[in-house]
Amino acid sequence: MIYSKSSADYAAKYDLKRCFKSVLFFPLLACGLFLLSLFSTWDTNNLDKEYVYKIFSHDTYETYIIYQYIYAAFGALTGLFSFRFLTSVKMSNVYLSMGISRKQLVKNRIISSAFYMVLASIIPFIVAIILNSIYLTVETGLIKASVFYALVYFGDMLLGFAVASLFTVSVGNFIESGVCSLTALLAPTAVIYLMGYTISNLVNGAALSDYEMFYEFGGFCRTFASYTRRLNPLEYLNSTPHIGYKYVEGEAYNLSGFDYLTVIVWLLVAVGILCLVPKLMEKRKAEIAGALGANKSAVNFTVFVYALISFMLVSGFVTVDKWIAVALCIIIPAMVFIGITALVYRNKKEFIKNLKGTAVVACVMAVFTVTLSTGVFGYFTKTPDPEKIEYAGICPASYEFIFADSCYERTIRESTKVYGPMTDKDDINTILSIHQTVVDGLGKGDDSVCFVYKMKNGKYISRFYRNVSLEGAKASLNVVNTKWYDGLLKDSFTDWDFDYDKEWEKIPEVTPGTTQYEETEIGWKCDYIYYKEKYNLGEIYVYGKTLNESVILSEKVSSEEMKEFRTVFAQELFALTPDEIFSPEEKAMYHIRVRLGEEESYGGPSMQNIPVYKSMKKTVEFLTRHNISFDSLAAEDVVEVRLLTPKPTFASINMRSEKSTAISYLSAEFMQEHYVSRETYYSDYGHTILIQEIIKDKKLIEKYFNSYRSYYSYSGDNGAFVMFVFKDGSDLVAYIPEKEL
Amino acid sequence: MIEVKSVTKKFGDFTAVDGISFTVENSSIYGLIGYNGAGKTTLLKTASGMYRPDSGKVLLDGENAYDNNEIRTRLFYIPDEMYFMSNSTVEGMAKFYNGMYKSFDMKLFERILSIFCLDKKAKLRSFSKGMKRQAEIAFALASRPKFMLLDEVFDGLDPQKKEICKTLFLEYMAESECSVIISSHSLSELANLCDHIGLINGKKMSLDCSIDDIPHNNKKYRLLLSQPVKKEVFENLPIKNLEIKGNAVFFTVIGEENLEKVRKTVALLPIASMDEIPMTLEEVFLSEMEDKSYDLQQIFG
Repeated sequence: MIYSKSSADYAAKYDLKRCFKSVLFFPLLACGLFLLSLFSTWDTNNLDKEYVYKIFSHDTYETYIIYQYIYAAFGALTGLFSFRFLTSVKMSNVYLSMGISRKQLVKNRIISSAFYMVLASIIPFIVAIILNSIYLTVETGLIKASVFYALVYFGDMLLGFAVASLFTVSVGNFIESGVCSLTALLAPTAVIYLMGYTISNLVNGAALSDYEMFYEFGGFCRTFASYTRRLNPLEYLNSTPHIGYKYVEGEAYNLSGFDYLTVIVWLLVAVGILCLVPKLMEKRKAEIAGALGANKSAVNFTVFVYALISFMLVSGFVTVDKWIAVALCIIIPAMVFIGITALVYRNKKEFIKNLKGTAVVACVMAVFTVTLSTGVFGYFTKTPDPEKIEYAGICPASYEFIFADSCYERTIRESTKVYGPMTDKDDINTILSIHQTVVDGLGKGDDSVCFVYKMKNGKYISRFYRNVSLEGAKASLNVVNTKWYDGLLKDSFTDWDFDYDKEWEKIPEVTPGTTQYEETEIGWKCDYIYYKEKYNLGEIYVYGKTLNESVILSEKVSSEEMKEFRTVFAQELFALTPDEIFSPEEKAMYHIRVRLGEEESYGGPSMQNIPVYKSMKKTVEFLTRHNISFDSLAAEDVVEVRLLTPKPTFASINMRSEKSTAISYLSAEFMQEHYVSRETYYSDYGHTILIQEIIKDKKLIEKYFNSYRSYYSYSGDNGAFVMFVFKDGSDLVAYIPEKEL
Repeated sequence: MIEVKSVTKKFGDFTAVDGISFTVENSSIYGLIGYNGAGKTTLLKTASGMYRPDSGKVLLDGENAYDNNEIRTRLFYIPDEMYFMSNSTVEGMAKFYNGMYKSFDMKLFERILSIFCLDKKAKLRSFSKGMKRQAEIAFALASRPKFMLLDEVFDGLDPQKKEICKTLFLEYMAESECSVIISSHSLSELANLCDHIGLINGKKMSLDCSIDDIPHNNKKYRLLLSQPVKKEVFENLPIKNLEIKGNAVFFTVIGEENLEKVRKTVALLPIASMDEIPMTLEEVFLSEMEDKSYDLQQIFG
């Protein structure tokens, strides 16, 4: 009998017809959800006429990025259900014994799914264009954006479909194919985000964390995720400008060639994976239908991803001894690997076979751990070549009183200011010398110091060091010995330096969304904005020892004398050594409170209390000459002293206000079993003050009252915080150095 | 014609079918018998082109069956585990097969349904196992295949329906020159249906013959010797179930070739009397499976 092709074609056509019915659901759902979201941003009654056009509102940035995940998920579901028949013995009995070739079965499912995926990606944008044509305008930008986003979502959906199809034709079990597909699709996101976390935990020096170091200013120190976002098919929109809208005022964002290339590359990856599916289908053994763990490569890949994730999670808990940490980072992923594979195979023979794979996992983790914990073999502890540095910046271990009014930014673990930019060669060398001292003492302390360099080739180098030794932390305070710091004091206490202002004026205005914008927006750009506010000292308040009483200096002296005071005070402040600043030998005689710039501008402190010591003779003389003295509270007014913490490991204190409110900023966290909690004034820091001992002995009270420091910074000193409680019920927190206790 | 040529199929280290060969001519029904787990289903799935054999091949009208969609347009495989689309009716499934098989005959289908007294509007999920079997058989016959592979197809059918099905298969085979392989572990189901029988034992084909040849080629012997002979005389003979009681000797011989050998040896013995009794299919089956028999009396004892 002759078998004509027509019978096979007949079956193939019917199967294709059925596919067009069966694969419709998930693309339809994706499209429906997208349309719902689209309509929700189109309130035609209150339509913002500021828009020229819009697909997504300017404030829906995250939503349209999330749609990458949603489309990929629906694509994956389409793939899973299209090839589900392969994972059921009953269904594969029918489909694989009929007159359709395996290749044709795959082809039909790809064609029908791709058709609906194209529609699901295009329809929302056609609707958006129609809405724009009715209510706003249609122009090239809108069409471009529509095509771009349609391509992105189609690419993601196709990728999800391709990955799920690949796994479904490769493995035996439906749930297994779902788990493998989900793992493969989410692996880039999980690995990229967790790798940032791992790097920040294991690589001392890498300023690549799981969140932006200087987030508020566009990522000066970029995270690992921001570097690698384009490697994530479900998140690369996060690294492209939002082109889904345009305002009447201003230009719409533009895409770079790299943005288009990313979309095309991921689309090609999806197509490439799809090309593999028919080949795998031909090789598939029908007998694996329904069986768990039939494809060892798929199992090993999936389990390896989980082993890697476990490695990255373990790296976050390694506060124990370094070698134990290294061992845990190797052993736990290996255990995860052997554990999951043992669960999948439930077979002694396979368990023994998988020991080889476990050894491979352990070796890979060992390589990761050693590479990362050595700072990528010293890369992150190497100081840059001074000749190649354009400018340098530093975040010292302690910043109180350094009086740097450059941008206030959020760093990884604490509020820290970047001091800089320092362009002077000597200053750069000072920073490099601090950098080397910090690196030499890594792992021997609990402080953090970070460095930022802009290189002459335009690149930035940022290093964030944890576990900095006491020597390193102290060395970081040498920032006050730089010309930049001198200039800062000069600028702050004398007239505004217009040349300096003009220098910053040179920064060109750049278009938001461009690379140039990204680079200039970050870092020092904020300085410009800050300085442009043309802040000045404004009023000077003079307080006594306890900040109990004050006078406004301008009310006591003439403007000429004010100028004289500023000069004298700046000179003496300028002359103080780091030790004199950070661990003063004596109690302050006065406190000068200055108002800096606008109220609370850029989140920085608007008021700063600067202690005046006996050694600042000219300042003291000026104040005495003008009869500025206070009947400060005496030791007799103190009823008790509460010893707050006998041995702080890290502390800096800066008395900030009148004793009646008794607020002090404590940047230490105290761990004691018995304490009386008391919220500090800055409730967002959430610190509590702990009472160790209450002293009522008059002699001790007098001793402590005469020796407390209103400002005392990190020194490794084993002193104590004290709270003086006065007769009127008010209190004051200060610091008693170890030698005074 | 279906030609199974030295087919071996392994699942990992486990050999399910080992070098099996047989041929099913046109207009022929081949019965595949074996214990549960003998490899019948594996062999049928290999014959249907689903499984790729590790060695050997299955030819359907001279063409390799594995992933050959054109030849498979004329093949219908009824698996042991039936599949129906979720929530589908008999009519719905018929439409599916009508779409998949160009040769599907809807009128024939309806006629078969009426024989089975099945309602085409009924949901298949509401059917009993036997009714689902009947529906499957209806789909298979209405598809007018050239090759039919039926795995435990009578499982769940009542005796009356079994007889109807057998008649339908025979009628269809006669009309269409169809080659049918039907597997079962029940001899009685196949005895009056198949023209050839294959017996799978120990993953291998231990018997492959025509039903008509079974009494001629398989015999039970009862010998009464005029003087006792040593047991060693029978040791190298292709015989089974040897039993010697004084001068009386009992054994069975399976296969034409073996019979010739035995006859030559027996002729040399001092025979007082000899009975050569043709064996039934059931006796042949039991004889072939003797290696796997258990002494049930010992189980609880």
